[in-house]
Parts: sequence; structure tokens; C-alpha cells
Amino acid sequence: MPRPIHVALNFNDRYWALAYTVMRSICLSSRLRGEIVFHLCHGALSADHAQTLDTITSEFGATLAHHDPEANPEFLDVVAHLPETDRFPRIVYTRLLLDRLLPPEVSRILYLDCDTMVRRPIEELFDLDMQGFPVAAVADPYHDGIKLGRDIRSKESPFDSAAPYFNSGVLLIDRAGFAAADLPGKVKQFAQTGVLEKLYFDQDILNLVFAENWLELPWRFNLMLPRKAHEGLGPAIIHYTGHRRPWWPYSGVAFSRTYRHVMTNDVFNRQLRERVGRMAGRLIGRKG
Amino acid sequence: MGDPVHIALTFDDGFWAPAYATMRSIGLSSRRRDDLVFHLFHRGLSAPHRKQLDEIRHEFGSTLIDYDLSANAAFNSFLAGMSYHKALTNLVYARLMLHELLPPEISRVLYLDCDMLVRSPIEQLAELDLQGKPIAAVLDPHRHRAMLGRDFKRNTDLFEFNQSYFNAGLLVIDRAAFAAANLPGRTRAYHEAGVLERVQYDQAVLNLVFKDNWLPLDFRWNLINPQPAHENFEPHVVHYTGPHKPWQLLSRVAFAQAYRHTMTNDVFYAFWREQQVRRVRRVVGLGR
Repeated sequence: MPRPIHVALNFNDRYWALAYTVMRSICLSSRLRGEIVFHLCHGALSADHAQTLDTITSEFGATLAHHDPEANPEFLDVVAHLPETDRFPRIVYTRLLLDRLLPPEVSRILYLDCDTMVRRPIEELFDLDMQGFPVAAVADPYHDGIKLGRDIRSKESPFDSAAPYFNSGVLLIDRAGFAAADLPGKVKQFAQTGVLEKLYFDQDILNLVFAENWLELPWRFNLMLPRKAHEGLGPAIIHYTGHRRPWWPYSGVAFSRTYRHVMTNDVFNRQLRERVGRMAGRLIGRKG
Repeated sequence: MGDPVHIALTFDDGFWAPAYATMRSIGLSSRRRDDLVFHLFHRGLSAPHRKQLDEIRHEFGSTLIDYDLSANAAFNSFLAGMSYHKALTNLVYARLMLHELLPPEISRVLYLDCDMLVRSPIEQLAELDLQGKPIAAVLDPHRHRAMLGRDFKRNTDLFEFNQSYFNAGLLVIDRAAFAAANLPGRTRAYHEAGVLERVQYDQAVLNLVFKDNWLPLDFRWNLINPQPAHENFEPHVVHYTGPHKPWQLLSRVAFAQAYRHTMTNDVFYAFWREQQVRRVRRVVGLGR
């Protein structure tokens, strides 16, 4: 099995505490802590946030490698074509260029959204037989609405309602297969042909490029909209999609209490103060 | 076009909109839309309702065949003297006579209740190996109460607590073997022996006749009483058996939103208004 275990995360400074929690959850549940390399794709981080992230190294012996996509001309070239919102800042698109951003010796990458929490040894997923597919992921239960909108027909879409469609929040990537798909080239092509306007951010792009060419993983590797009823069923990766988020108090989602302790109470309270501060700032009209 | 995929539905005019949603869900998730043949068993449909059902033909190129049972001599003579169930109406007995009612060239038929949402290609069931069994179905999780009633003390002469018992909402039917079982004759005999009146009508009859002679399907082919927490498990067919129905406002069942968009918002609200009118008529004593 390829070692080390390469895990890629992308985030900006605002999501530092979530990135910290994903990393800590992986290390807490793995037996191979010293063999994990986290590839952190981000822009500028405040010093105290960076310092907290670094404790992953001191607590578990894992390695952190920092990558700044903004310094990569190819990234800048691709994101110029892509939409940006508050919820989807441009940093999310690093997922499309992982084969260009990571060092050449990396042959397999596990990409995780930062609103996930891992509860089983990550090597169980990382070492999976990909059966020659370029990516492996979990089917998205809400695919029909995402693809085709209201009444499952209002959106002009390149997708068929019956076509399999994955959630890209947990993505196991075979680098060679991924690189061969030439995602940056495809993005430009979609922009020129007008397809890009019909797509739902990069998840749609990935599904279009890898249509019928992905390995379906069991639901437990990407449990979306996690509820208390799921706790007893042994999910491996919890994905906090939906409006309720465990980084707020009283979220009522699956493993909300565990999440706080994985984040650690100190970090939980710090990020909560920052969030409340930002909300108050927005109320009084300050930016940020 | 390949071999036709035959699907039988039974419903009254008052249930036209859920029937439409079931049919549209089958069309949306199928890869063989123009092979789908819907056999619609009813007792006459109002012109606007029938026109809406015809949308299935326009949207998917599927075929619709109507069977007006109010004019069917064989069905009416079978019904004569049988008990009437207010909620199910005696139209449900058509399920026991499918082999007599369908055109002779059909050898395999899929029967679905009209309170279902289909999420996977239904043709998988048409292509299924029945392993010599006359029918395939899903084990009913509520079978013990259905068989043995309150305190599990009724009908102990007919059923045993630990026997298997399927939910008849979804059936894969081998016509020849189904016909050989002589369900109409057996039902009449149960009626004359007073058995029919103390069991759950045709589902119990099917289970008595096909006891230990049916192929169990994965629970995902007929997910009973679906809750939001089930959404992650990629159910193929969601069966809204519980007290909450997705055609009600704010139902909180699994895939409530997807159901509304499958039914389409126009049909959803038209049906909702009809139900309110019917309710008011019942309250003021004008009947159904």
C-alpha cells in the first residue's frame, strides 16, 4: 500500500478550526498517525491559527505541508473562469487542481471537505482497491434536485435524472487518472461552450468529467445530513451538510458532542467567539 | 427499444396525483424510458386527471394503457359479495387478478403501490432472476402485528410469529406461476370460510398462498415507513406507509422535497386543494 497517506484539505483562514478538527479526527482514529501527510491548501493564515494547526504535528507526529494555490499561475488561470460566493470562495477550486499542486511523488490523494469528521482508521479508505477508476466517492442522495432544480426539470443541465452522481466532499483520487482527465482544460472548454453556466460549482464539473467513471463507495464513507439515528450504524466519515453545524452550540446533529471534544473545547470557544464577532460586525455594517 | 418493462398500478380517481408521482419517479430514474409500459387499473378517471397522467407519455415516451374495471365483468363478478375496505377500496383486489386482466403476451409484471417514490432504474427488477419463484418482494418489518394482531394472539391458526411475510406494495410477478396459484379461487374460498374478514385483505391472502415460496429482495426495494435518516442508504423504492405522507404539507418523511418536485409543484398544490375541498365536503356531510 502506498505510504505515506496523503490527505488534502482546502480552506481559508475563516475555516481554520474546521480544518483542525478534520485533521485531529483523522489522527485520533488512525493507527498510522506518523505516516499521515496533510496537504493544506490555503491563503494567508493568522499566526495564532497557524500555531494551533501545527499542534497536529506535536500531538500525533503527522506531517503538515502547506500549499498556496494563489501562487500557482495555473490555478489563477482556471479560477478566472469560475464563479465565487461567500459559501464557495475560490479556494474550493483547488480540488480540481490537486494533481498540479501536490508534489510529484504523491500517487494517491484523499480529499476531504473541512465540514467532515473522521471516525474510523483513514487507512481503511485510503488503501481501498480503486479497480482502475480515477476517483471513488459516495452517491449523493439529493442528486436529482441538484442536477435539475425545481420539479426536476426547470434547470437546463447536461445531466440526465437517472445518471449516477457523487458527492465530492469525500473524494479518493488516483493521481494519474485524475491528471489524465485534464480538469483545467475541461473547465476552459466548458466556459467556452457555455456549459459552465449550467453547473453547480465544482461538484458538477467533477461529475461531468468523471461521468460513469467513478467507483461508488458505501454510504458510511460520506454520511451527509448526519442525524442522531445514524450514530449506532458505524459511519466512518460524517459530513455536516445542511443547516445544522456542530461548530455551533446545540446543533442536534450526529456526534455533536464528540465533535466539540475533537475540536477541543479551547478551539471550539475561540472559533465561536470569532464567529459571533463577525456576525456582530456584519450587524453594525463592518466588513469581514 | 428493448423488451417492454410492464408495470401495473391500481388507483382510484381520487389518488391520481400520487399515481402520477410514482409514474414520474419511475420515468426519471429509468434508463429505458421508452420501454416502460404502465398498465393503469382504475374505475374511470376525470378528464383533467387523465390528461395529467398523459404527461408521462410526453415526457418519457413511455406507454400508458388504461383498464376501466368498472366495466370489467370478470373483476365485478369476483368482487360480488367481497368485503369493502374503506381506505384501500376493493380496487386492491385487482392485484390478485393481474394474470387475468393483462394482455396474454406479458410474462413478467412489476406491481407497485401508488404511495411510492422510485429512485433507481426499475428495469433492474424486470431483469431480475426470480430463481424459479412466482414472486419477489421485501420482508415486511411490521409483519408480526399484520399477521397476529394485538398482543400477537389473533389468527394463530393462519400465521406463526417467526414465519416470513412480505409487504405486497412492491411485487415482481412471474405471470405463469402467479396464474397457477389461482388467487381468485383461493380468495373466494378464504371468503367463504370466513378467513378473509379477519386478515389484512389481499396482502394476507398473497402471503398465505405464497408462504415460503417467494424471493426476498433487499429492503431498499421497498423501504417501509421512510424517515429522513434513511436518505443516506440510497433506497431504490421509498414506500410512504406511515401516518405522514409526502403529498401533505410539511410531512417530514424521507425525500419529502424530492417527492414534491417529482410530483411537480403544480400537481402537488392542485391535489392539495382537491383534498381540502373533499375534507370540507365530508365535514358538512356531502360525502366524498
